[in-house]
Amino acid sequence: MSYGIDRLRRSGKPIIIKAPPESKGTLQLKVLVFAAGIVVLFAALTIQLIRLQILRHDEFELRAATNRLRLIDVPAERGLIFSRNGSLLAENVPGFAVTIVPADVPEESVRTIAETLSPTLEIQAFEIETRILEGKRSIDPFQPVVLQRHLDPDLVFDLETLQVDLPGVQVESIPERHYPLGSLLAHILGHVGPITEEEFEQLRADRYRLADTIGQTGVEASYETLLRGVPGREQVEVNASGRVLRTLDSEPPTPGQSLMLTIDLELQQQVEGILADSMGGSLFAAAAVVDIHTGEILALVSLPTYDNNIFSEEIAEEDLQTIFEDEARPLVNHAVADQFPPGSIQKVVTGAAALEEGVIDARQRIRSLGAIEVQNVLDPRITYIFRDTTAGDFDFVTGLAESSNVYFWYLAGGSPFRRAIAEELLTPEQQAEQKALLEAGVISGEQDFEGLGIDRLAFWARAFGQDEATGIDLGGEASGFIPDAQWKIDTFGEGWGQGDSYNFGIGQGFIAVTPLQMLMVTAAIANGGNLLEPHVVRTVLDSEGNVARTIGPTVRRRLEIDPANLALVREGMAQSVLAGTSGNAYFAEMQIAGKTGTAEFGAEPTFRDLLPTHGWFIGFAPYNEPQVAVVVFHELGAGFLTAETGGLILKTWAELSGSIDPANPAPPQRATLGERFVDVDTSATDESGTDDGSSETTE
Amino acid sequence: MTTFRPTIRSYSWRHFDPVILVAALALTGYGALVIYSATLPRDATGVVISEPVIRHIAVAGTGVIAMLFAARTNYRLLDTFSWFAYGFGIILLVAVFFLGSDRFSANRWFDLGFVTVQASEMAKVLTIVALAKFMSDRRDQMHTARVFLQSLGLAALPAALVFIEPDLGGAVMFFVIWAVMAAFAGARLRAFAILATAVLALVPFGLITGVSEYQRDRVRIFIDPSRDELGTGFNVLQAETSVGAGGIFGKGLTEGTQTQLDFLQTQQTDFIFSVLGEELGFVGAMVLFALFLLLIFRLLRAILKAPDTLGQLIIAGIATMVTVQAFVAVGVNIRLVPVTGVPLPFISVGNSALLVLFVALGIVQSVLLRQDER
Repeated sequence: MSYGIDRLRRSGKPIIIKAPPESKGTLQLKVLVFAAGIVVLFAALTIQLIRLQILRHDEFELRAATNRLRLIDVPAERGLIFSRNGSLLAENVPGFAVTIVPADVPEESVRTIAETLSPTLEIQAFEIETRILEGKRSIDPFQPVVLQRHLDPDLVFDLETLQVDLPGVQVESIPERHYPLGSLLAHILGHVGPITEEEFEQLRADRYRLADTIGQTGVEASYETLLRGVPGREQVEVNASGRVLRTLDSEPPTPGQSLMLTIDLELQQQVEGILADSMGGSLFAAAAVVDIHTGEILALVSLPTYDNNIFSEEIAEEDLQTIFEDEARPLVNHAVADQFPPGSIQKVVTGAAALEEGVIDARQRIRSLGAIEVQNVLDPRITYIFRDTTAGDFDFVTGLAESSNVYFWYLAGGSPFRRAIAEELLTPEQQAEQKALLEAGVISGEQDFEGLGIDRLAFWARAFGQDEATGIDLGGEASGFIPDAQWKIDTFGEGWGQGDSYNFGIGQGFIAVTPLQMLMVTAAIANGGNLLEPHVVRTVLDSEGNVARTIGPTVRRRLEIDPANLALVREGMAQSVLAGTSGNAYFAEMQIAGKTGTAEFGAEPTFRDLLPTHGWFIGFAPYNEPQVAVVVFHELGAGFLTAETGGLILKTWAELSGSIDPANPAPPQRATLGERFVDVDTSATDESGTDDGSSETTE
Repeated sequence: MTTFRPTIRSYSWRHFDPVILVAALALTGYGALVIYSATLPRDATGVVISEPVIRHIAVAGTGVIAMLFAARTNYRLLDTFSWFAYGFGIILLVAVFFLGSDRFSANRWFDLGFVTVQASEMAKVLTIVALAKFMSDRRDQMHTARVFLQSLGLAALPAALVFIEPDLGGAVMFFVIWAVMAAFAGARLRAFAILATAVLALVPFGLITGVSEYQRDRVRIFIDPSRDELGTGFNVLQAETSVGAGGIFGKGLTEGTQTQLDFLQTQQTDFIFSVLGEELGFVGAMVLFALFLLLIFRLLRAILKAPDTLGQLIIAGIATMVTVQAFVAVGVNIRLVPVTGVPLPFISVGNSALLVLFVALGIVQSVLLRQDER
């Protein structure tokens, strides 16, 4: 057997002769079986391909399309906000944010991405990881999640270089909101802020993106729909990293509408200055000026305020903590969102109601001895002394001007009941005394003067809108509180007593109102009975700057009060400035009207046996042809001092608006209300100059 | 039918099978086309021939020369050098642990700077040669348990090394190649049956040992940590989507969105079939299968022509390698086979693997040229 001449042979190496090949037939069989196996394998592949490519083609076609086509919402440019005079109050400035589309991040890249971004963004890697993973499980994993807003411009370039290798990561241009005047209008403008995951579930129906910001408070929130505009849409093709490769179709966004506020910037600035100067020991204070014919708010200040730009920037944790822990609650608009007992300014409501209900004739006089004694309903031996700071004979105008509590106690609760006490409870001398009084008709168990009573007091307070939101176009409004007999039974299990009516009539006790409510009450008195809806936005401008809509005066309701009665209230308020408790509000250039209030609050006396008091002032100007109303509130204060602030504000308005008529100055201020004035019983007057209020003592 | 011709050269180029060469070149060209699309720069306008395409074609050119050279060389030299070859293969697999580039987090590559060499691809062919030598020497003893298990051990050593690389798919392939070769070498069907029974008996044992699903997952990750479960799931889903979206005629070369927008991962290697499936469709896949079947059946024909057992076994091993590799590489893309990183022969980017294939086919030609030597 030879293997022929080949290299091996020539090399002389021994040739190993292999066993001869097996029989041809066996080999052929093996090859055949092998071939069959190969055919089976390729047949299996082919069958699977027929299933995928032919039978289920449509399903995969759709899946591939879903992969690459994405409908993206394009936010519209947010509308601007201007003052009444056209000054820019809220603008958009360029801003950058790092976003990530969780769906575009392959599961195995999550950690790498988190670790790559962590040092640049100065966020813990695990936090980034958590947010991506949470996003992946969220209802819409294609929603970009913001990892960081307010990017330092220096970082933008670094990140844009980085993002090329990081699927799903994008440096997005998201305009930020800037308020050039910051704290001056913070409570009115409010601010925008990011959307939380929970809010997003509701908002996505309105085509908000998780990366969007939304108006959180103030005008930014209440006019969100107008300011936001309508987002556009883009049908884009993306690659596996979520990068947009091309736009296939687009529907441009409709820019948001701009707003022009009713706020007079000059007046707002001056009012803020005046109020800030008047703060004294007050924790917080508020003031507002309204056009009594339109309900337009010309100025609205709540102090302390805050810079609303802090919400557009990276907020330092400590700063936020400081704001939240501040006892004065700077974020709260105290003029709108906070409520307090009104004190004597409530007398304008009680007075108007009493005149309208015919409880008293304006000329009828009531004699005040400086205090009033009320018996306990259950035990007549117990009496409460309601003290007043004035005394004398009061008609309606002087009663209001001097803020006589006794006069308004009569209007609210009538004359005090005097009932006989069972004889066995009295000493012989007392028995004799009671007998004499009974014979004289003093103790009759009957009232010689019937007041409004709780039902009518509550009815009229509600008619003046004191337990409903005014409807101002700012969020978070408090609605005030008006108690009634049923409420007292439900809450305390006690009936409504005469003392409760007395308190109510002078704005003490359970009643609570917002400064804004009192402003609108004042405006209604000044304009002849129209309870208006206040508003801070005057006109809505389209993107070309043309007026698209004017927010007109809205009369919430017309008060069913005889104009003559309202005129009497106005006269009383005018007298209050000329010769009454509101004397500090007086200025010579224009005759104004006003009413002070000094409302006790809290449960613990802070000075001698006196409770701390809030200072209130309501007023309007000019007296003869009213145009604006004002309210001023001091957290810790006294009405006669607050009146000074109110006067200054009205004077500023008069100067700025050019409404001062040199031919028609205010009449000179008088020391007294003329022959009707009686020396004041000063027994209950304290050093801080409380001009009214009541204190309860048990005998 | 064979006539002894006492010539200077006992081998004859007359027996060179041009069909094998043409089929290999057609597959390589087809591969170049698909690679062209898979590596097309995403911002490209017009035709941009990328480096991988050029290399693929260049390697094919080198491969033809290598094939001719291998064909001319007497394959019986391998008989002499088989143990050296086997040893070299083992050294390669061990060395790759220490010298391998950490590519796709598996130590499977040598980076020689200009070219990366996939150690297991070379080791596969070298093992085929060693097994062929071992089995052909003991052809009449393959029915004995000792030789049967010895040959199994011969395959098991490189398989174990590949397994811990880690590359489960590559390891399994060694056993499949061994099984087919052993069958050709005369191993009894009964021996396979006993072996299969033993393996099947071990499976439930393994499942009982690794009780919880969590532990089983851990084991799976231990076996093949380079393949993250969730990430892989995404890739397979995208591969399946690509193929399915291709439909009958495909989206057209360079028109597949899945490929061009990178939804498909590792599309030049493990998932290259998805590119083909998406862009050239069912028809394109059938062309691919036809070319593979043509090549493989020419290899089967060569088995019948081989003058000795050594030649038969070498060809059977190579045919098995190509078949199984093609089946697995396609099957992974269409969810017929669990995910494992196997390149599609002649199509996937991988210069050393392609060159090794051409050399392997050259050895087949070498056997064919010497078919008359009995």
